[in-house]
Amino acid sequence: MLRSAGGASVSTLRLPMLHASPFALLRSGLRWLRREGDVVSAREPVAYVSVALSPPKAHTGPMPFAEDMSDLQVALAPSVGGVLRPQADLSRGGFQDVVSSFHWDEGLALGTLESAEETELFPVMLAGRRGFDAGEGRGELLSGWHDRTRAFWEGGREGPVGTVLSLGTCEQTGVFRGEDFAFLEWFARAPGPAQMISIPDERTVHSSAVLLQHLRRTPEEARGIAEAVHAWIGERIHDSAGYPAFLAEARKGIRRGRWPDGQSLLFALHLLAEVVGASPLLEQTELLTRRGVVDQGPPDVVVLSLGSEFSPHFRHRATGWLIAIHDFRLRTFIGPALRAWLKRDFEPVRRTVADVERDLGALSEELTARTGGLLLVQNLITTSPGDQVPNYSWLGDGFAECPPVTHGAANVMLSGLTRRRNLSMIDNDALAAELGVRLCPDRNHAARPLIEAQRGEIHHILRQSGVPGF
Amino acid sequence: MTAPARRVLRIFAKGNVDVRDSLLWSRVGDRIEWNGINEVLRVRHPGSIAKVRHETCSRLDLIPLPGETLPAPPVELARKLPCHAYPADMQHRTALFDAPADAVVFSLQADLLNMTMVRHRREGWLLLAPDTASWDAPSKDWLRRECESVGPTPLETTLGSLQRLVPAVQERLGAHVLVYNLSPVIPGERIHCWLGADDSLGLRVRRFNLALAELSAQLGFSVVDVERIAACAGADRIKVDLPHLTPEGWKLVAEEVVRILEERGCFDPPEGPR
Repeated sequence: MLRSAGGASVSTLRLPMLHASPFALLRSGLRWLRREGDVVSAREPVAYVSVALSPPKAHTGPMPFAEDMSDLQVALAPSVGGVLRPQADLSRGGFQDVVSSFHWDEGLALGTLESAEETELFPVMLAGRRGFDAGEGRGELLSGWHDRTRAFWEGGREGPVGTVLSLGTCEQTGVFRGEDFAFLEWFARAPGPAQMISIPDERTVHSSAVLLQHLRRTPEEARGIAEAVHAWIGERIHDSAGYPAFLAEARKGIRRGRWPDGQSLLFALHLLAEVVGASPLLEQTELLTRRGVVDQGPPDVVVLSLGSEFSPHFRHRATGWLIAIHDFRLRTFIGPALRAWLKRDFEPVRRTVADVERDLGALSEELTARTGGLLLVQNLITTSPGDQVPNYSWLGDGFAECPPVTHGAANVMLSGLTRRRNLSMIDNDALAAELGVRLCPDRNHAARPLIEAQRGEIHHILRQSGVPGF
Repeated sequence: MTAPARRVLRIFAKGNVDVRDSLLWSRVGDRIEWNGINEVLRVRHPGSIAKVRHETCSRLDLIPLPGETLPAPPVELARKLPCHAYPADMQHRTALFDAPADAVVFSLQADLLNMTMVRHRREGWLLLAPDTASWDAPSKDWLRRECESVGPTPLETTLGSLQRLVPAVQERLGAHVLVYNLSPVIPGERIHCWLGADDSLGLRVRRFNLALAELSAQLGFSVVDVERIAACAGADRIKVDLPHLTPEGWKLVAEEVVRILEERGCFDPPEGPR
């Protein structure tokens, strides 16, 4: 409702319509992201709440959002820009703003916005599936350790929902999750209804070979892998070599409760969780909408990094199980026991550009056949300000490993592959070269201007490809 | 008191806009915007100057080795054809091996960008026919009647030319060999899918640059990595179009040439008597 206040128009900001019937939708107190008098832009979230579903009496079946319920949030953003006047008593502070103990009272006045046009609040659903349910971290939007995060918005529109899945390495975190880690840059630019999903590479890196094997894995193969992991964990549990020493040190108050072997065991279990779970390429999701909880099919677009293809790969000798783990994680993020396991029970797999071409092509074919999804691959940045190799003969055997050469060859392969398959390429290399590679000195971790350019390019392709909601 | 002797570095530059604008001068309209490699030397090596001899290049395989004669159009015909910066009677000749040089500079640019190469239908010789829109009618008629387009230079042809030229320069002249690559970035071009399309020029440049790096590993010449220079500075800032850089860009390329020559010992103090 618009009313005039000294020449300015004032809209009341109301809690928008969301339903989860037959489940009751509960919310926490409001956490304001902007303050009294702030000038906010259209589609800029101004507040958020945690939400939860409460079952009707005598309900015994599965609950929607079972995997996301610990970290389910709704951010609220006005449809037009203006000056914000929040209502003060809706934020309770402390845990009242974290736990969901109030009913979702649709239409509740949350404040006002002085703006040129009437506005409504758009809800943005944010859902994080925890990697470990007890691993709580509810400080901000989508904070904590999640093995899958997603955002969904309708933007006041109806129609088919486009879903984009990011399965790349850390170079995609900034592009997809953005600086707020909650996909809000995408909400600002894509009208909706749209869903963005990000699955990180903390457990296994999502190369085409790893994804293809996951897609094609039979229940028998999954069981064989599970047995192999259980057998190794059994060995570790029974091998108590380091345990008494740890206890002795713990009694002195040192080591702070960290059990080195525990890191390895947890890592192995999380690798196993991917094996026995659904392939992210096929996984379906649930969306919280104005019409209730809606099931959404597999992703329309899957975005990969070409860099994933060249991270260290290992094949389990007995079962053929293929995993990929970043080399920096091998050095410091996993325990010595897991490294020893990799050495004993796995063999390293060296992948050539031709191998990658074969696997990406096969994955694209399989994805088209199974879901009709489009594969989008970010190519590699070839240049770094530190490269000054004018004479390649001085490199000797190192030539074959030299990034300008290896990355360049992979990029040329990928360009060729886009001619033959249902696959598109984001030319990160050209974008970085246009803007200057000082914005990405290590070839992977870019600064804001380059990330924005990459995001813009991906958005351009999504629109050109006719993905709904973008 | 006598002034200290100046060191003179003899550079033979066989190429087009990239080698000329970086090493000799870059002119925009009537104004010299970059005054070549000697601007860099004045600062970094005050006792040295470069004497740059420049020849345009129609294609690397049209540079003859000493004693070699390439199939060429008859002289009377060649003198009549309006080939502008690539005189038809000079396209199959070179002064490269005529005088000593300390460094010889080649470039991929001619092979990548000179798309108007034709072959004489009966006699088989090649000719670069640039800017034919400005040719007089009889020359155009002759071209249409007698010649056929050969299309872009195949990568293998370029690599073969360098495999022939580089050892010849090293053996005959004892000179350092530098080869310019090209930045593949075309400001504004962003192709994400080539389904059913021909190679973009940018992709063709990438293929050539990669192959050049491999050849450098085999033959030991230096690559003047224009691709890296443009990427580091930001192609949006220092590129005008595919082959042309801004004066700042040419300066960066000239600085890279000097850095390579430094690494190759071209400015080391002369060894004194023992």
